[in-house]
Amino acid sequence: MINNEILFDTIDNGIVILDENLNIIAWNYWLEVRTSVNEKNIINKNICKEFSYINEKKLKRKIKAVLVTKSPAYYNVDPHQYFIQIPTNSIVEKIFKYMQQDVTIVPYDLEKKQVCLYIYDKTSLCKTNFKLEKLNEQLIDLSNKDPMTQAYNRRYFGEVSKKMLSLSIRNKQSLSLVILDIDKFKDINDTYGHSIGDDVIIMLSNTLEQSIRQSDISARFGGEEFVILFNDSDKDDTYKLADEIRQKIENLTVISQNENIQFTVSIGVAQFDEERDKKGIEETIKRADEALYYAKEHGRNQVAKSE
Amino acid sequence: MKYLVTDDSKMARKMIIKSIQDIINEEDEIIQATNGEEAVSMYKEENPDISFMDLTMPIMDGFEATLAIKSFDPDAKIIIVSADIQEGSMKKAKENGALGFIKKPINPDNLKNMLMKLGLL
Amino acid sequence: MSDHLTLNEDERDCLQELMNISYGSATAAIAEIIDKFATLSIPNIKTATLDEFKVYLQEKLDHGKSHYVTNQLINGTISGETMFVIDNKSTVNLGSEFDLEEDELVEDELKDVVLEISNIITSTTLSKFSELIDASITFSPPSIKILHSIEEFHEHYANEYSHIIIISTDIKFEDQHINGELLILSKDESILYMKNALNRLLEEF
Repeated sequence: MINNEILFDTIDNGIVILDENLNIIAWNYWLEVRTSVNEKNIINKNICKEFSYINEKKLKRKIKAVLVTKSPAYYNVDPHQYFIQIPTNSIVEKIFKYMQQDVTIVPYDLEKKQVCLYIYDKTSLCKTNFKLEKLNEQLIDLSNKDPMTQAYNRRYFGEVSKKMLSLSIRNKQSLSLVILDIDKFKDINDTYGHSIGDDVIIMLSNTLEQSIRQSDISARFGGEEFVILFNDSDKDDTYKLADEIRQKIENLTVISQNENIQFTVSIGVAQFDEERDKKGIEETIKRADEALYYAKEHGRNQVAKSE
Repeated sequence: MKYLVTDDSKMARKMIIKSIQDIINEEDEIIQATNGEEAVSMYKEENPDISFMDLTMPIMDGFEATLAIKSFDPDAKIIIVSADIQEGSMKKAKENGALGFIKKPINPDNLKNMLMKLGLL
Repeated sequence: MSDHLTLNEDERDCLQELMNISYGSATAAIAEIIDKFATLSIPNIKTATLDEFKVYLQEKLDHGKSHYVTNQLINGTISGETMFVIDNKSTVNLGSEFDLEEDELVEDELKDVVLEISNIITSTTLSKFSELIDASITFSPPSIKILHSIEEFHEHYANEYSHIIIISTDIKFEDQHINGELLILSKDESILYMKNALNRLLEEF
């Protein structure tokens, strides 16, 4: 003989027995403890009147489904994530304010039209899933972004530029790019130290990010080198844009650790040319690099164009 | 007695025939149709005493076939045998002239009771 | 290949009839639960191999419409899983039949409606079917996904399923057309069990 009373009161999930009118026939110990509501105080009360956030129409329909199909049904608690509101008590790792729950409804007494609801605590599972999601997001960022500046990295740029290239070829649009390099960066590091040097790079990265359009992409290519891809822009337009950026940077002051630092950049511009850059965007980058070298050799703080 | 059994499924026809085994006699004849259209033409030819008709069939369904048969034989005795057991279907079948409605799989006792109540046994 | 698992004509006819009866219970259940009159079209039953199933699913999902797909595991004398596939438009129509208000016709509520209808159809159809062939089964809770193309369908069906039963039907609620498909993937041993049961029934009659 099984002692149902003991099972009912020691089982590690909530049990509620309801009739088709949503009146509570039984309420187990697990629920008493977590809701501070005693069974004797809630017997014969309507569950939706006691817990007004429960969707009455939905619950009634689910109970009817169970009675008609004589099979279990599952009460989907999204988006609340709970059926009965029970605050979580952990101080550490408190991701959810309320206990996350799964609810299964099964037939209890078909003649009396009563069903039994089992409430399961799945907070722990949800926490794990939440952490997993966050980790995945971080992983994606790690693979695409430069950790220091949060700018896109060279690898990601390689991927995206290929896609943008085929799009612009298909749409018969021009595609140009610039390579940007901080002038005499070694001197900045030697004078002010690497920590301030890093802040300069971060400031440059942010400035570039703010200066480009949605359709353009900026990436950190090397230590103090950045590349920007300009969508639907020929070398002359890009030259103008690059010079605006150069001026902006010239007028910029980086404030870091009580020092005011000013710096300039040299920029090389090149437009993708189907004839010349047969191997793709890599060749355009080479030509921009050559233009950059020219800019460096001829005084710095200027923009040079690859014809 | 002549019985007409109409259903597009061979298995279903077998099941119906099996369930009327207790009721029929040696000399009774059972003819079969595989859809509503066939049922109507066979009815005209053979003039069965009692017909068992499925509802969901291709070409012409049970509702239409019942209506069609009743239009030229108002005394036709048609019993719907169907998996579709909703009130609405039963109502519609009766409106079209069916005498009774029995759900699949047929319980031979229920069938007997129904036929007795309808005075057909 | 597994020829011993394919169904012959008599077995298919028998299966069709049993499915008709089972599906009839399911639609009646839906009508009773949401208090509306529904008619079902003749369930179209196809059996397919795993490869044919993948092609079938691909054609279905690649038509540009998004689909809700639910999944439930079956355990017992018959084991395997079921999938219920319904397109977005049908789901919205279904939502109206479930008396959802305009502002409730959003993804979360619609997912819930699909889960419900899928559970009702799956549990009644399969419970009835197993009753008819003297089998006993239990179900797992259903899970749901929204798919826009076959690429999003990452399921890896190893060689567990060589034969799949596809039951396709239109559910009509007075004025709304709702097209949903129930797919039953049963493991090889279960198909053998079913074949035996079908033949037993055929002999009995």
